[in-house]
Formats: sequence, C-alpha cells, structure tokens
Amino acid sequence: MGENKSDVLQGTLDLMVLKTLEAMSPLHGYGIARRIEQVSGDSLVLNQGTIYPALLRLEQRGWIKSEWGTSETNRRARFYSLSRIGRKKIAEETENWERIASTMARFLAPSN
Amino acid sequence: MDFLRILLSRIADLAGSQHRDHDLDDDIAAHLDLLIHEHMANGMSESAARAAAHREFGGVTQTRETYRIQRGFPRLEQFVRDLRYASRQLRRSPGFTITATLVRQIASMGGDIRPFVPAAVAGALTAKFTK
Repeated sequence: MGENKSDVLQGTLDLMVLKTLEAMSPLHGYGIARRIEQVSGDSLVLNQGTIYPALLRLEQRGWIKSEWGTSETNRRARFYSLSRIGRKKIAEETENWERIASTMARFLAPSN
Repeated sequence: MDFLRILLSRIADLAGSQHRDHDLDDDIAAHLDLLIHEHMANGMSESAARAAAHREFGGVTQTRETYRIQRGFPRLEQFVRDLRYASRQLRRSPGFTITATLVRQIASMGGDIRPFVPAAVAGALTAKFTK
C-alpha cells in the first residue's frame, strides 16, 4: 500500500501510542515515550525520537489530534490526544494485533 | 480509505512543508530539554545529562529524515505506486466496468488507455509495451 517498511513493527508502536493516549491525554512526545517505557518495563528499549514519525502517521490518518502548548520546562511543544475515530480504532487495532500475535505463536511453537 | 487520507494529507503538506519542519524542531527541542532536566534532577551534571538525553532520544537527523519520508513523497516510484493503488481502488467503484487486466491488454496491443487511468500510469504502461 502506501507504507513499505515493516508494517507490523510500525503498527506495534502506533498501537502503544494509542493505548497510552487512551489512558492519559493530552501528552507531548516526551510524556508518551516515557509512559510507553514505564508500561513495558525493561523489555522495551526505544529510541524516543521514533515516536515522532509514529505521531505524524497517526495524525495523518486522523486518529489523533494535536494542539500547541507549553512543556514543563517552558518550551513550545505539541500535545496529542485521541480523536473520536482514534478512540474507536483502538478495539479494531487491538484485535488485529492479537490475531497476528496468535498466528506468530503457532509459527514459533516447537513442533511435537 | 485511510490510505487516501494519508495521500491527501501528503499533498496538502507539500504546500506547508517548510512550516512542518520548524514544528518538528520545536517538538524535538522540547523533548530533549525535558530529558536533560529529568537527568539533572536525578543528579547528573549538565553535560552528562545532555549526553544521556541524546542517547535516549536517538539520532535527531535520523528522526527528521524518517519524519520527512512519512510526511512527503520519498521517491517518485513511491508516488507512482500510491497513484496506481489509488486508481485501482477507484476503479472498483460502480462507475468503472473496465478491469486492470483489460487496460493492460489494450496497452499491450498499442491502444490508448489514457481515458481509463491517470496520466502517470498510462505513460508507464504504454512505455512498457513500446520497447
């Protein structure tokens, strides 16, 4: 389609961003990245900068929206929150992800 | 239809592309600043905090590049691919009775397919069969 790189990997980060914004909104990029790290514990090492292309992608789709605000250290930054469509999409995307995960589990299960 | 929305967003962004890069710069500056403040609050010196912040953020140039690719048209081939996909999708709507196979067949016989597909696609397909 329009995206040619690792769609599943991108989709994973996108879903994490959506779930994070579902729990807490509005958040700026730093807040989202920090919360993703907190929730995933030690298992996820994320280059925090990768959040920005993901946020752009989600905003292009209309699933999140942004507003300019001021950060805790007095800098201009965008704060993101879910759109109405985005809120609805979470259930759909979660289902997609679970389907992919269970398919992978079958692939990876040791053969008897 | 997400796909069309993204494509339209990219076309719209072409006009405001300079503006968009400044916006990202502000976001990145704010983000790094927050990281630095966090590390200093945890007792690091400013230079150590700055280094740690950049390590956690990853490459700023890399971020800008990936962002720019997502925003716009990475290569002409990608654009043509997008257009081809869009025209395939549009062709499935009720008004269109002609199929991709038929268009290709017409092109292969040297026929004029310009009424059926966007100019870029017609050009590419016709060129393919006139080598």
